[in-house]
Amino acid sequence: MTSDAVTGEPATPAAATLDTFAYDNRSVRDFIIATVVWGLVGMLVGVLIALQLAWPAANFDLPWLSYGRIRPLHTNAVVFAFAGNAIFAGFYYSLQRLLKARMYSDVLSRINFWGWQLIILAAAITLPLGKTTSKEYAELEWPIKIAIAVVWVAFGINMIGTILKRRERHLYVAIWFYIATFLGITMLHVINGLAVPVSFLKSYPVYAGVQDALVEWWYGHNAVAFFLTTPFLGMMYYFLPKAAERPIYSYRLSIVHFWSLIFLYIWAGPHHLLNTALPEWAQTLGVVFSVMLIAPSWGGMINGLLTLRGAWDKVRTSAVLKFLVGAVTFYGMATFEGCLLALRDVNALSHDTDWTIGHVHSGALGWVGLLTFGIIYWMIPRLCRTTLWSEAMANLHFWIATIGICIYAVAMWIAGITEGSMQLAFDSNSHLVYRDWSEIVRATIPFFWVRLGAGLIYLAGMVLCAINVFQTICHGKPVQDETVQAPPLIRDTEYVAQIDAALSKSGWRDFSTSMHSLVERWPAVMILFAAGALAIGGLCEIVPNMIQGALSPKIASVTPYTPLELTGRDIYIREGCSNCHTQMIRTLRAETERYGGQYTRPGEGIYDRPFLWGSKRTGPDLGREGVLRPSAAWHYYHLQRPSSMSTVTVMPNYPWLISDDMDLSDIGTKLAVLAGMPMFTPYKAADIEQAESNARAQALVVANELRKEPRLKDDKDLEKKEIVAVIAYLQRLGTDLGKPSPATVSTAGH
Amino acid sequence: MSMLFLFTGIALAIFAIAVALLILLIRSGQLDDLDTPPLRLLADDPPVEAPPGPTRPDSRTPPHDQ
Repeated sequence: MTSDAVTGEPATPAAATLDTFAYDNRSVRDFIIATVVWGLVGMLVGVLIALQLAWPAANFDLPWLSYGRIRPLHTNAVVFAFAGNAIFAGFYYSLQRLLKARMYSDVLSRINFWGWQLIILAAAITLPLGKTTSKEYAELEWPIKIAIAVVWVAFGINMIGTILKRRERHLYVAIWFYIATFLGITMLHVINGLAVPVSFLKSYPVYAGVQDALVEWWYGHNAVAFFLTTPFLGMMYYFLPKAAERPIYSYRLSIVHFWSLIFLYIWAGPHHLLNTALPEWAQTLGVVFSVMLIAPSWGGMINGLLTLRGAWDKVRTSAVLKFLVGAVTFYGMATFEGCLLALRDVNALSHDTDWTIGHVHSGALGWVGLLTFGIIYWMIPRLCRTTLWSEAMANLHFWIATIGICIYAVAMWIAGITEGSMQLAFDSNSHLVYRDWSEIVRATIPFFWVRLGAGLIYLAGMVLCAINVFQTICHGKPVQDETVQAPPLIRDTEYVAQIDAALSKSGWRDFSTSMHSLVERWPAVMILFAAGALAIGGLCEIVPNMIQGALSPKIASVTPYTPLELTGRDIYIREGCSNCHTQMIRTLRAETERYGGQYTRPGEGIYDRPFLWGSKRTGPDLGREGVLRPSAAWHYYHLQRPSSMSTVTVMPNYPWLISDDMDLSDIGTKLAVLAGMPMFTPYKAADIEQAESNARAQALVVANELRKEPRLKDDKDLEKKEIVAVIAYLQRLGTDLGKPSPATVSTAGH
Repeated sequence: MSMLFLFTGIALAIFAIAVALLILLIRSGQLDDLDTPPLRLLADDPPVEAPPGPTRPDSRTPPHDQ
């Protein structure tokens, strides 16, 4: 074909010759197998942490099995391993067929596949070891983050290369969603990942406090948008019409859907930070755009469902269609719920409760999960030149999964609304009704058990899927390279002439007509426009906040952490304490009442790298822990065995904090990094030089305080232990505001 | 709070651009044929069982085994 194109004259009718080429089916099959394997692993870990929440002893007092460390393993495994491999499988399958071209480079396809699996493996090793940045959905430390960027760009080059050598001029709407996925994730990953390394697996983010929170949730929300929404919408636009054997209900609507979605999504991040120290204007902006998101979201859902007009009878028999219809329905429900949760007053109730967990799982199990299963059941028989091993088993899987999700969501709604109402409840004398956190935990535990059951049901469905996929592969004849024929794309000589014509035209209408055809037919221009739209949204939210952060008056009494407190803070991060404890007292009366009278000020977090606001209160907020619970001994006993200090608790024991010596070897480096570019934490040269001895001195103070306890007075090694650093950090939390200072409260935004 | 006004302005500007682009899209006639692309998707590639003659390898096509 290449020689034809070179020697053949333009006059040669293109249809006369057909290119013979082959689709790469092997990569698709490999990604499907990886999806199934990691799905089993990720959901199994999910079931384990669900069990630990109901019954904390299920971590067997092993550090690497404790909830705080493996909760991020669960989220990373299901999002980046299960959904991630499903995305690649669906993209590689549909992209080649939509563009009538093999993937651009087999080498890049292999790099994409193996690179991604190695990254997941690295996550599965480092997260249980406590190597984490603590930033949700971006927990992996810097070397793995760089590897993700490299593999992701390899995927991007492979995709864009395929687009450039395509044999079909028109880019079907699914491909626009795919391009947005690549661009969006690249931008989010890089901006949120900016950090300065301290050692091989430890780094500090360049942003602090409120700024870090805004960047993280701008990332977190848009990771949902560009990793769990746009790629799956694109795949819906390919696989749903295919499975229904009907064209999409409205192609026009799908185009409107695409543009409005990527414009609106990027602005909605601040709805994760309502009623917090984030400036109010940014919160309001987040709410407004979140509510507007209902339009494109439901536009997409309606487009999907109406595609089945006249084909609903097929849903009765086809498992694939059941999964796809179920997925689209859950997409509609979850996006509606998302708008609801983004309202400031609803959020006051729902934030940091299990309602959020329920919402996430409606989206993840319902939309992403069901769509993934649907496309797997569609692709795997076609890749293996056979029929699905058991259609009945797939149908059973659908019902099991759907029932599991419904039980899960309902349990978490009840739990979340209960937790929220109990936290906010006042009696007629204006006192908190449930001041003791144990009462809230007691009310929630039954629903933790129900959730465990729901998770097990969903996992059972996943097992059925694995069996079905395995048997289909075994019974079929997998074709690694599927040979097909398609006419070549007419060479672009006339297209180049069109560009020249467009540039020389003077009439606006002619010009716009020609320019538009450029946009439509020239992927590079399309990509530029999409990138522009995404970047503007992000920059407008982050840049002014950065400037405002830099200009707003600081709180004079807020000082950097001491070396020992910093060590304790890093242990707090390692153990994933922020997975269950927030450090953000919201601007609500119930919160200030419960947590010592003062809500968290933006200026309090300027040395917090990373911010530790958290997003879930399984335990109480710790933002003022140093004020509310200054006793070192209380923390010692509580960390040793929480049930000795609380009547009802689901917090695991932390015996290793008592037995392990703290590592102060790189504390000087840590301080030096924080004091250097671009963070400029005001540590003096002497602070950095004497970091270790200062830490030891403070540790001795804490240890001596502990030794006042009769049970601990003979413990000779106390000051060497990790628990001393953690206690020093906990004792510091929230105390700065109360220190004497001329300018105690001077903050912006409230 | 003054930031909010700036933000509203920027937001409106972006929307103006988006709407302009969409109008451009519609006026240009590029979206007149919205029927063919969704239908084209439905056609399956007929499998090429026996490649004609001794395989003419596409430069991008690795030999396939069937």
